[in-house]
Amino acid sequence: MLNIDKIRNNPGNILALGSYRPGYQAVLDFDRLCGRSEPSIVCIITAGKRFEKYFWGNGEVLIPCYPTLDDARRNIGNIDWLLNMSSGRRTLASTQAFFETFPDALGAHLFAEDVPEKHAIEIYDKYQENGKCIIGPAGVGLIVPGSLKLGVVGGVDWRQIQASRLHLPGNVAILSASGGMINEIITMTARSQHEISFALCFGGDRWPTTQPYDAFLAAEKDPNTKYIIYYGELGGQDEYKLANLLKSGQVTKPVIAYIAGIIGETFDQPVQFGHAKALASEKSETASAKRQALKEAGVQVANSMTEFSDIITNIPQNSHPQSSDVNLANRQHSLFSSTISTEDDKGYAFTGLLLQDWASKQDIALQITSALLGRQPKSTLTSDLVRTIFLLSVDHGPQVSGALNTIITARAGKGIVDSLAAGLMTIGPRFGGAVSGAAREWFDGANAEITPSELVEERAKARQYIQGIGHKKYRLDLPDPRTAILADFAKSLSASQYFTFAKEVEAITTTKKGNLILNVDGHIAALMLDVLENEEKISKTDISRMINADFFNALFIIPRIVGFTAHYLDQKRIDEGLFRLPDDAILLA
Amino acid sequence: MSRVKLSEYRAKQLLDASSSAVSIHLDTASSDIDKLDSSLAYVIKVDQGIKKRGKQGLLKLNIAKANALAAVRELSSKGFVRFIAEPMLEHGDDEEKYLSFERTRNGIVASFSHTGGIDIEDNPESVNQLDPQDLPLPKDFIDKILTIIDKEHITFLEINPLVVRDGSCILLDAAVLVDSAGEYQASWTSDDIVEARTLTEAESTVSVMDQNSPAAFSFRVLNPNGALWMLLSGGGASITIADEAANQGKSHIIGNYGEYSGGPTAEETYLYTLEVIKQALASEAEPLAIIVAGGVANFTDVKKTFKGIIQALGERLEDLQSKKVRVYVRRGGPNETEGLALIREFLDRNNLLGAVHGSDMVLTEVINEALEYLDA
Repeated sequence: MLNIDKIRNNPGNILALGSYRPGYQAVLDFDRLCGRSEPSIVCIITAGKRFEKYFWGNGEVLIPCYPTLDDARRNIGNIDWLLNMSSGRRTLASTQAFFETFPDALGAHLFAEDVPEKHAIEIYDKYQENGKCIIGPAGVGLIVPGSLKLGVVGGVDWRQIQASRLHLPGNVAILSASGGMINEIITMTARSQHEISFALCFGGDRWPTTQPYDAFLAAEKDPNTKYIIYYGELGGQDEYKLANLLKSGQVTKPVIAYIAGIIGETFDQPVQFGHAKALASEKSETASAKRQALKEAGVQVANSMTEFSDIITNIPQNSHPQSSDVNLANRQHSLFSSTISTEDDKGYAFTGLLLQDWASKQDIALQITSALLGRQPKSTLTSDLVRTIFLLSVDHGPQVSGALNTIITARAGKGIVDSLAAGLMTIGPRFGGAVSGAAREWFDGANAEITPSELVEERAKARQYIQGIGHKKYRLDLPDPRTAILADFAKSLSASQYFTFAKEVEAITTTKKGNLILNVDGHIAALMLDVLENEEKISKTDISRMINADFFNALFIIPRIVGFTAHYLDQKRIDEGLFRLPDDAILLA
Repeated sequence: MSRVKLSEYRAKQLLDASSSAVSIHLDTASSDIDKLDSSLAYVIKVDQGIKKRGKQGLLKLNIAKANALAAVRELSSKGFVRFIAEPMLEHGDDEEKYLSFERTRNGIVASFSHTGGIDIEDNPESVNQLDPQDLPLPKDFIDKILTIIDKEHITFLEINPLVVRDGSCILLDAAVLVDSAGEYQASWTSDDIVEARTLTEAESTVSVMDQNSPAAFSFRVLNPNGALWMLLSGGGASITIADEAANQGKSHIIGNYGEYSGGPTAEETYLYTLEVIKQALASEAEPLAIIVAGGVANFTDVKKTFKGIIQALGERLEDLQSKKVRVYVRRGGPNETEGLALIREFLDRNNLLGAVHGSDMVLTEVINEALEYLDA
């Protein structure tokens, strides 16, 4: 149920569903004008994006985007409010999915027009009747000045929000069926030097989830609200329930009202006006009849907008309003975004830690792990694994392609950058670049719930190698001493579903051929997948993206740069001169 | 978004798979009538959602196939294009029952009377509201109807008269309102929706625009020879502005009611404005006033929508000037200052300027300014 005072003191956070940039920007501008330290919108559910960039005051902020509600829950935790901007067709299903994922959420605003009546009633029965606060559909939402803006109510331009002083809590509640008129009345009220306690738009549909009745009771209960302004229209019987609230003493605060639609009474046949509900098929539903009922209950009912405006102007003023001098007129979006490093008075910070603090930690593996994750690791196991991988991957002989290209380039008289580049450019699917490929095998295999033997059969049928399996030199009876150390590392993990999967694949492939062992790349990929998912708590969606971004190959590239550098410097010390292959080394076919 | 009426023909098709009703459209009357059975007698009714057809002479009883075309011609002379033909069912008045269902917040509520027929409105006390499961009718019939109501997004269904004979229910007359927002899940389409009156060209164009856009457009001619024409934005603000004309006792000179809302593009606003202007210019009244007004928009961009309006006004400049049209503007919202400056400059340059106001003036004041011009 709607408790305005509670929202005022503890507005909570918002999950935005769907794309509506100007609306979301306005929520952030409102937050900033209210002096909030963090944006109220904590994430956006939308496909195909990692972040959306918004202004935060004169600066900027990245709001994370998730493809699913589950991803949002994993990354954000609790959500208080849903701002549902999806279409009328999607509103019921998306609202249900939200409350299934976030059963403790307080409520939602449903923006869409064209939500079928049947769906609106279902949402009402399931959620409003069970203590959630659902506002809409076909409205502009709820604003509690100084605290919460849930919807486009109050405008999408920061100048409108500022001019209506919606950053300051006041004492006039505005309740309206119409989304356009609520903003008209907010503007009117603010111009006459009053501040608003809250403004709520029920929406123009036939079955609003939060009804005028509920909003009147919320206004009565709210200690800040001293006056209630109500805008209603022809159609429906809500005003009789409101009149009863006043007559029975359940609402005691003064009410000012305008009921639109006397124009409807000048036609012979009932006319359907803009809102679904705005149709008077019986006399009791006409604007005149409802105005009369409210008048009899003691409401100050205006006969025209001019009169409405005059009555509002005459509401006693609460205090001298302060205006806001925030100016957001000249802000511009940046061209690049970065979350890695910053520079300020204290110096340079890298992944959140000042370089001087990194120096005092004396832990290069930890720093490189942070570089790879873009943040400090959650578990020491992660940097322990990175350290082990690097110590094992620095080099494996001058004979291998990458080292050899570095050596040849160095002997051709080139400098360090060219020589390293020659070595690095060799890294690919056949040399050193199979870690990402192996990670894809284990990740897809373990998550698609296919058995290791099905994976092997599939690959055998397609005559494809399994990346991460097989070695030129080592075999089952001649084990690779490096993989023994990596396999040992698996014992320290809390869970190891990927490593187990990879070992099961190896158990099958080695029965076919002795050298089809789980190689170093395969070990690194499997162990790192386990650490990312179980220790770093990274979502499967994000891990999949990391595989696509070649995160896993970086685990080979970084140590191997050290190895290539060693070969380059070594060649400069020896200085044998330009290399040419002997003639018999090439078959001139 | 709103409740709309289905043709009786489609309603019967939905409710009764064995319905032998035939739909007749004026344009295809001969071939439609070919479907009738020459051995039966028919009742032919206007099928445009009109109530009390019997009392208004909008139905013909006991028509043989050979006389059907003449009957349709006669009914069409009253301005109708859609008809339904059904085999006559001989029955006694005492067999006629009344049954209706309505979707409410508390579920589907049924109303029933043992004495149905055309005089039902004179006997409201005979109609009882009850839970559909408590209706004194065959249970399989009720269950079937409830399933159809749910599946087809029916919001109101009235069967009057209903004849129950040998345990089966016969729907002599059925009126169905459906929820237009449910069309995407239903088996009826927008072609099955009937209007009691024939739409003007501008009205049908706007109705098609509304169906094809995420924004909302409505347009209804109230008086084709009106002097006060409305180009309004927002469902609520548009009624409030029209109310002011009624307050001033000027309802009779209002040409139209309509509104655009939900953030239309400049192009859409341009097309909408063209239709409003076209209808206004067809009025015999002179001079004319056009009201371009709305509340303080939450998200509809004033500058963008005004660009569309200016483009349309620009295309019909000479016609507007020769009809002595004055345009009165009041609007607020995103890009208010820029939008208002744009339209003021345009109207002033082309001698169409009535007045231009922003959100600092009461919403409805432009109506009074326009009425002063028309009265002068």
